[in-house]
Amino acid sequence: MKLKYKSTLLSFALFVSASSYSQSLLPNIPITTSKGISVLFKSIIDTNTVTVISFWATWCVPCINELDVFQDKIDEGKTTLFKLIAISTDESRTVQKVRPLVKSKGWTFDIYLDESNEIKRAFNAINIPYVIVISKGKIVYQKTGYTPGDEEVLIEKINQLNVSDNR
Amino acid sequence: MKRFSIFLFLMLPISLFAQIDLGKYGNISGSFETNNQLYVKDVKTNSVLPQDRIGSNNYLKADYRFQKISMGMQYEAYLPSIEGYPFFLNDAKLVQKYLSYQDTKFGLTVGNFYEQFGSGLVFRSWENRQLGINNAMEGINIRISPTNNFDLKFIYGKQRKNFDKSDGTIRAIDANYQIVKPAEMNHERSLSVGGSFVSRYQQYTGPDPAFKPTVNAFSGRVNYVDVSSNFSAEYIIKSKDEHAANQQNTNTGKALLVNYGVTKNNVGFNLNLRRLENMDFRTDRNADQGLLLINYIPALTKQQEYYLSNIYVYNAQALGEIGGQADLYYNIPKNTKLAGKYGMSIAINYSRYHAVQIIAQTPTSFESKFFGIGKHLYYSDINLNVKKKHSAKFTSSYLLQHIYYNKSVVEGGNYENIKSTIVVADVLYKYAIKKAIRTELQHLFTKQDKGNWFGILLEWSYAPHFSIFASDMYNYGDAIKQIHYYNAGGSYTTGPHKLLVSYGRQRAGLICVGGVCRLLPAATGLNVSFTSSF
Repeated sequence: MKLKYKSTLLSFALFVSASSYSQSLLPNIPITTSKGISVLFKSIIDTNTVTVISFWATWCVPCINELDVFQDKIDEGKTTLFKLIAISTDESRTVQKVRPLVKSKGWTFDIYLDESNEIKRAFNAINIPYVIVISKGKIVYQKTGYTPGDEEVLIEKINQLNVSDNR
Repeated sequence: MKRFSIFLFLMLPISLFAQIDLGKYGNISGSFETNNQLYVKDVKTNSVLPQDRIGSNNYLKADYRFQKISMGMQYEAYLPSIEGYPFFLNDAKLVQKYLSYQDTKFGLTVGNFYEQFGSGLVFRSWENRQLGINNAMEGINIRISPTNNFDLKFIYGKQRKNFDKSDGTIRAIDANYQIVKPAEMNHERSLSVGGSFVSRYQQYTGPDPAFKPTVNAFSGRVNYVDVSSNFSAEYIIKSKDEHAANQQNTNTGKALLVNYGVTKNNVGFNLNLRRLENMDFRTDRNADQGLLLINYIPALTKQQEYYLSNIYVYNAQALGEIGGQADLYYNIPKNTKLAGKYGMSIAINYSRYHAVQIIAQTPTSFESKFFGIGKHLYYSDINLNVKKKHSAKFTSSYLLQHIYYNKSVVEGGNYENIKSTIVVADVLYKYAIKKAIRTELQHLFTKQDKGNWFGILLEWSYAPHFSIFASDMYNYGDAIKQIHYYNAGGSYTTGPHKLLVSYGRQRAGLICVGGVCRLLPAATGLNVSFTSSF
């Protein structure tokens, strides 16, 4: 019984560790800008900067809390560390609320629309908020959900990436 | 439980090997989701115990991507399906697979795919695992972009129906033309027009020679965006389409959706209006609930996250409805007297939906004024959300909401109309850099239905891995039976993997996601879910 318990734990740990930091190629599919223009997803990724992608929605309270915190970090002068792209997964029920919410919040980062959730599906994000960190065209970190303090872990990761990039 | 262990045992090695990054030969990515319920007897809620006390819904999705080519599959196992789903399955199958080529000017997908035309009012294939909806198409999807401002899409195929396919066939085309396209991304003005044609064919073998097996729908749309405002409109017309879900109504289907938004500094306003008439559209004339939907008709109301705000939720009335919603967002700037050092945000939403104004009626049709507002009020909701960050550690949010809910129309049956007022206080105290406590206090006031409710939630989190919670919803105002709907549990998250374990009672009622609802039965038991992306 004890051996079975250990082997189950080992399988789980292997699964978790092995499944991190893969998915190196980015999807070659269109995404919509907040102005309604269709562009290829790859074209919005700046390969010279660490890019943080956050999948969110206007109805998702933890998502908005997370983006508010990101904006605070940007206001603190952390903009040189990373470029933030927030991809709204609002469907036709709520997509019209994206612009007024974003403008009222004064968020300064780029907003894109994924109304049919094609980009979210391509990244295999099951639930939101879902954060992806891309460095040099590769996914180096992913995180599902948001708990207060997650942003500190993210900034630590970005700092590590920037340090290794500068070496 | 044994069957689930076997499934997990089979899935884990697949997931492990699927991680291989093939370098210049592409990569494999995917996701794995398992939701499990162990039901226990609970005389208090009158929940009906299923024959098999376990419900287990499992999904494995995997994609291979190599330059412009991708292929993938989705494997699903219901061992058996969780109670309250619109279907009962006790089986596992490789249900979806596709092969796709995507380039700037051309895209081709063969196999299963999801697609949406315009706002989805004329066509949308989508998946929502929580509701048990998956109407993925199986067939062919072609996208052609001959110029950088013109897109054409063609689709042909059948819809997914649980582990089977629809009897009817869909063939459709969508065109979008960008009249004004900014030369540069930062140029804030765009104008586009578009249109769709969606045709459904299902063989008819009945006795009526006038009955048409083909139903056609046409839509036209316009979308304008500039630096401080946006406007969009879409109109759909659908040919005669009597079927089970629209109570054999023979009216021509019509829908109008108009949206106008304006923004300035810290203020954003949006107005959303819609009229529906006989717009239920399916690939099978005998389909009901969430099965084989061709179009997407969400309830255009504010989607709330709090428990007590989700007791009386609106469900769009495809047979006839007129109404709309208005949203106002205002952010009081930081370093002002009211907002303090950290800022304050206010959101107000008002929605109201009526029956259409009927002039004449037969058992299977009605005549109505297009812009007429019927006497019957289906739903109204006015709500105010205020969020203020008081200090680096302390944030609070408040909700005040008043709802009018025509339960007879939304849920079917004969009930008293419900008026309810909901108040919520949501307080977050981040007492350490990665540790926080959050509490929600909620109250619902109503003299109808199950009377007043009280709700409480306590949550402790330690970023980035741990979170535990305990909650209760108590209908203490019910004259007949008061029940504590308690729940407690915890989660462990590492990167894109999350394990959630909880035990408690589930309230019987509507669960609505994106405006589409299903009725959940009462249930008590243990819930274990695990989601992972790789």
